[in-house]
Amino acid sequence: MTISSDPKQVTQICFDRINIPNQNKLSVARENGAYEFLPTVLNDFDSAKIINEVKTSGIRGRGGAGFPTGLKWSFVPRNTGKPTYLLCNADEGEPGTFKDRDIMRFDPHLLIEGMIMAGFALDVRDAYIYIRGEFLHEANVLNEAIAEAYAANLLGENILGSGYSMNLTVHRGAGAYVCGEETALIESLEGKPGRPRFKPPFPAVEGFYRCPTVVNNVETLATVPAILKFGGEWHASIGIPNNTGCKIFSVSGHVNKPGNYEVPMGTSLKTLIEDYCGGLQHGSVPKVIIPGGSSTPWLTAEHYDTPLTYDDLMKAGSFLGSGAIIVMDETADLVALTRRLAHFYAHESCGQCTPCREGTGWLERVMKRVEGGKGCAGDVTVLKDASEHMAGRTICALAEGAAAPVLSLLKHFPEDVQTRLAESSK
Amino acid sequence: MLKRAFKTWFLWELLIGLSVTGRYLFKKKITVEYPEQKTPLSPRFRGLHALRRYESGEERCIACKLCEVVCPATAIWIESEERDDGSRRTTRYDIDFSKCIYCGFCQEACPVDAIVETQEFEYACETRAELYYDKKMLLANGDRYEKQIAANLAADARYS
Amino acid sequence: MTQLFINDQEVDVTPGTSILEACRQNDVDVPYFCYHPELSVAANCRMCLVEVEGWGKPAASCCTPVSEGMKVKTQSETLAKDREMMMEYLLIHHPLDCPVCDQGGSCKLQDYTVEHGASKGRYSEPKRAVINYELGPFVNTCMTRCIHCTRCVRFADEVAGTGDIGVLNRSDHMTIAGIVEGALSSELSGNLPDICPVGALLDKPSHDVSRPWEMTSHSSTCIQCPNGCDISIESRGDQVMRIVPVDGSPEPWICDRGRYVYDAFRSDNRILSPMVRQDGALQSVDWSDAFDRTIDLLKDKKVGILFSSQWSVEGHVAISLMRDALFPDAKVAFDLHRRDMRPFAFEEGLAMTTSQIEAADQVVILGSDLRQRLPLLMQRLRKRGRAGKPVSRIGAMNYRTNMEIGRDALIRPRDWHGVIARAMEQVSELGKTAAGFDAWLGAVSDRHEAGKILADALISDSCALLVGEEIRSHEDAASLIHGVDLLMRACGHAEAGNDGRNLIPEGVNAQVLSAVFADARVSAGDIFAAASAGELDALILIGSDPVGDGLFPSAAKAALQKVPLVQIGSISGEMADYADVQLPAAAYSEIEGTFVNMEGRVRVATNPIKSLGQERPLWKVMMRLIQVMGAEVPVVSLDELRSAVCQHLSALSDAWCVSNQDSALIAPNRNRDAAALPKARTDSFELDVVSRYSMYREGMWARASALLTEAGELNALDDVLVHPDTLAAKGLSAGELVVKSFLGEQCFNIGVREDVTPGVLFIAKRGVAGDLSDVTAASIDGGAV
Repeated sequence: MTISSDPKQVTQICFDRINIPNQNKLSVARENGAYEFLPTVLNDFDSAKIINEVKTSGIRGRGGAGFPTGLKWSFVPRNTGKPTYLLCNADEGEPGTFKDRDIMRFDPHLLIEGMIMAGFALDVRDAYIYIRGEFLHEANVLNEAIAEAYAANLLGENILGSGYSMNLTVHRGAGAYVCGEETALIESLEGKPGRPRFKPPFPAVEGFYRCPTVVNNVETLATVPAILKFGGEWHASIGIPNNTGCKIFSVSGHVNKPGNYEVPMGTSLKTLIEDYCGGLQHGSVPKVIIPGGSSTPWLTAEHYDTPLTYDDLMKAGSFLGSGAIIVMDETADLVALTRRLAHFYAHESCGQCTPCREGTGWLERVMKRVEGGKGCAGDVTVLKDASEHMAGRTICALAEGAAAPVLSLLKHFPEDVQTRLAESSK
Repeated sequence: MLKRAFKTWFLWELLIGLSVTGRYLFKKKITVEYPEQKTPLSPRFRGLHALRRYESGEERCIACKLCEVVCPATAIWIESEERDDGSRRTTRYDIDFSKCIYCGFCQEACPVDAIVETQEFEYACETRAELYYDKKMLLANGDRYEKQIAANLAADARYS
Repeated sequence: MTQLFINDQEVDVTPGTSILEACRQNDVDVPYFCYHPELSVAANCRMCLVEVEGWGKPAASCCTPVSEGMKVKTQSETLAKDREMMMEYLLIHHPLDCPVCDQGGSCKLQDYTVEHGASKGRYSEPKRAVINYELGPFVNTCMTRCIHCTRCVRFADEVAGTGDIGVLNRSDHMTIAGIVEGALSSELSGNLPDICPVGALLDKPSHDVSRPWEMTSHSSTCIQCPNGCDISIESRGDQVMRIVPVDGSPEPWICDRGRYVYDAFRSDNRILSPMVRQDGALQSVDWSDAFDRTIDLLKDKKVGILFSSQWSVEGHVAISLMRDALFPDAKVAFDLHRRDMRPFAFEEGLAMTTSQIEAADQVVILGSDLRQRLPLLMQRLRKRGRAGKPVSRIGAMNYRTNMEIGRDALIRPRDWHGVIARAMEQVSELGKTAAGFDAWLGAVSDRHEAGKILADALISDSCALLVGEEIRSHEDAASLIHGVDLLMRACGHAEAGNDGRNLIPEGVNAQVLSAVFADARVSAGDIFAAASAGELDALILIGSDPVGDGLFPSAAKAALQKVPLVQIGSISGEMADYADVQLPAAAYSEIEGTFVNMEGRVRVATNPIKSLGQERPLWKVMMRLIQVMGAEVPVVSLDELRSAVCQHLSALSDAWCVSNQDSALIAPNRNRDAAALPKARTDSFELDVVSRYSMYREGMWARASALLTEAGELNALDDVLVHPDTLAAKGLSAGELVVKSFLGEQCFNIGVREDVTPGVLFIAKRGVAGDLSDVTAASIDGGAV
């Protein structure tokens, strides 16, 4: 590993080895530091120490909700007589997000190492990677890497002679966005239709097959080896307090160099777009920034300088989410954008809860009409009512995600809608 | 005193009365000579009931029984079943006009404008039994008065 | 207790209760669709949202547990708007066809739309239409009306145990559908329309016929099985339109047999006026003519009396009074399923309530097709199974139960002695014994390994034995029951308060019947034998059909061809071919009367439906018979009759007085001195015969119902079934084969099934093989004669 032990020098954690070719081969990965620290963890660390380090590191879940990982791990009840499961959420379904794909494609051993360490901390016997069905190549890469790891006794019985045993299995999803929600993921992994469960009970207490279960994002687990190697304090010194470490941002939209960029937390949106992504295609300020994947509320030019942290973005009225930044300049047709997103959510709603099942379809149809020039004056109220009463009234957060684009459109760009409606009445 | 005697002896009140009579004798008459003559009826007139059909000949009634339950005189008796084509239809629709109070609630309750009251009121008969109309008779009423019913509904449509 | 505030009212509830349940317990109204107290929580309708102080979002009250000091608001402006929007979402795709929907008038969606909905919907795009799917003979589907509450899915999974309804697709293409078209194979399917909050699942037989507001409700007791569920008979005028369960009764569901028997009430099979056979055919006459003929047939004659258990207690006591007044020497029979008339150590009836059985540590089913016999007890066992408690079974067939039976053994009826003996040996090794153990054990030489299942269960603290028809109808039933009784005593399951000896009776009122007719009862077979032998001059049959039901159809046919028959009852059935006189007695929907179920729970029906024809309550028919026959009428009113009942049964008078009838249970009889020892077999046939019970075909009422008959055809098995090995051992294959028994040689089409015990011949009573019901043993020899 080339990560510096001086937190001030650190700019990348998960992507540290990403550019070295053939990282997915165990021999290459090992040359570059993979599994270097694993024996130390398995032999010298204990569960409490690992959880404590992760707690100290201040890392928050990289999947979207931003829940402190150490805290999540500490909620898992011990000695229940039931097995504990570790699930890796690699169902990267959020439109705009493509960060986990790169980790799995180019550096699968980083994820595997992270999962072994997490599994050891939580006394897990069986761990699963639930990977998005469309990531066929990545699933193959992971499976090859896992096979190599088994052959090298990095997985399976008595790992590296430490006495700890863990099995790791890759499970491919079947193409449902909602299976990225942890309880739906659990249902799907159990062989049932992917529909979120209501909470409580939380998965940490009753999850996979009603046993204690931890579900973590790929990026979160891939950060664990570095945290344990350099210590929680080291990680806590990167970024800014309460928003520590580095974060991968998947930038797409009207920028000159879209792609994945790992930067320390607290880098500003403007810096990311202008210094890393080569600036905007048209104009100097973006019209709309969707900061954390399509289900987060939009930001406008006035928030262009916001530092990319969980807290600052929340202050600005949105969320860091999964770190998928979609940038739109003034050439974007926002009504069409919203209609397209509404279609996505109407297609992906699991159908369980009334407001989401019926509301997402309703929003899509109204947006389609408005976009097609057949809207009427009452549509604005309908869109507002229908989306406001979806959000926060359902089992999972999909309805909130579906409401966010519509509400953002109505809040920030009412004139765009009014222009369309005015065209319709002609 | 003198005035009183004058009124008494010259039958003054009688003359006044006769003058009123005389005035009306030469005025235009307002009496209608029924049945040769008939008064005009409101489109909302509530007379004999009828069951209507659609233009295709399909009966309108769907056996929802709302008229039966709303009838304050319990004059309507309905039995229903699922017809072979799966639609809900009456097998029996009877109205006892000896009970009916012509309140019009039935036509107000009807979701499909099947039961309506026509402007027909001349159906006096000799026995009570003749006042008991079954489904066939009510549908025949509908066929007979359809033009009138449609015109009345159209005339009243803007107020409903 | 957890203390919380609902609308500023302080309430206490048990910890872990959901907010919705807390509200329901305290009469606070919260609207909901998907919640059902008997089903698991789904939390998907989102109608039950409430506000909790300090929470950013409204909470779904059905899935949110209460916490100490929680402040809940069920009414507020934002909640009103939320509910209005929820209704608007639900009504987006719901058709506006309330006038043609049977649910209209008793529909939650309608009610809540009026209460919470806006007056106008704003959705103007195309509506969804959904393809219907077939759900068997009782459930009509109109899936466009579905609001996806998934109550039916959870019912099929959790209560019926069939799991054949599921959710397909997602988003607003989501539909509820059967996994296999038309395959709903549940004996509880009639409850689906009840739990559906909208008109998606409706009652098929009464579809498009009536409206909820036309019905008057008459609470009564179902007599179709010994479980005696509380039912509400709904009628329009004097016509029974449907039968539904009663809210708040011990069982929240009723079975299809009890529910769809309703069309028997208005079937052609009812006896609605007195009938007399003239010129070879039954003719309707008036009561006095019918009685004249009855007097001719019965006056100063020797008669046999056969009646069914399906009458009220008052009716049964009236039969007893009639016998005492007119035929004091006559023998009576009421159980067509009992061959051994020696007193049983524990007589028919349950010592435990069904909820106690559900809670017991161990439950062992001994020889009973419980799912057909007692669907609701089976449902309780299923609930128990889901909670992880064991249910074991020993029997002649691997009866389908829709649950996982923990330990299961297939045995032949002749193995029962060996099973009990094996269990006795095992418990005596543990030092548990009772007086009479050795004598019983000494009389049996066989040992059967299935006894281990029984013995293992007996070791637990509380063990409920459900002794079924295979033992009760056994030729040597008294000794088997004595053996089981000894086992239970030895293991401490026979004391009051911990009594696990449950003998499942054939019908309701079993405890009353075995007390009232203790001295006079004989086997029905004995009565038929006496009639055939010319010892009787006539038979009186009160609501019983020995040709269609029971274990003596051949004997009954022979007897009925020999002696005249006076039939008294509600349903004519096949007895119409034999009856010389028919006297109509009122059906159970038409009487005031008392019923005692197998647990001993007493129910009194008080508001009967008006008689359809000239039928009168059975006790009045009995008293009139006494009068016309010239004897003194013992009682002239229902009150006098009830006083007479109390002389027989003081327990009943207590039960009549208490306000909570569930607290005063009538205990089944115990015969401590009944010490019957095992007998050796006398016949030499190698196969044991077991009759199969079908809930759709057993009993006069069920056969008079066209609906149940139709369902019975769907669920029918072959008439005669054996295990393939049984045939293979003889070198035979399935098909037309000769069956030898004491009835002689008969030819039957014999099918094979893996789940029948080898060595057992399984017969369906109502099929062509019904005649074989008389025999307990037979053998199969060769191909067709």
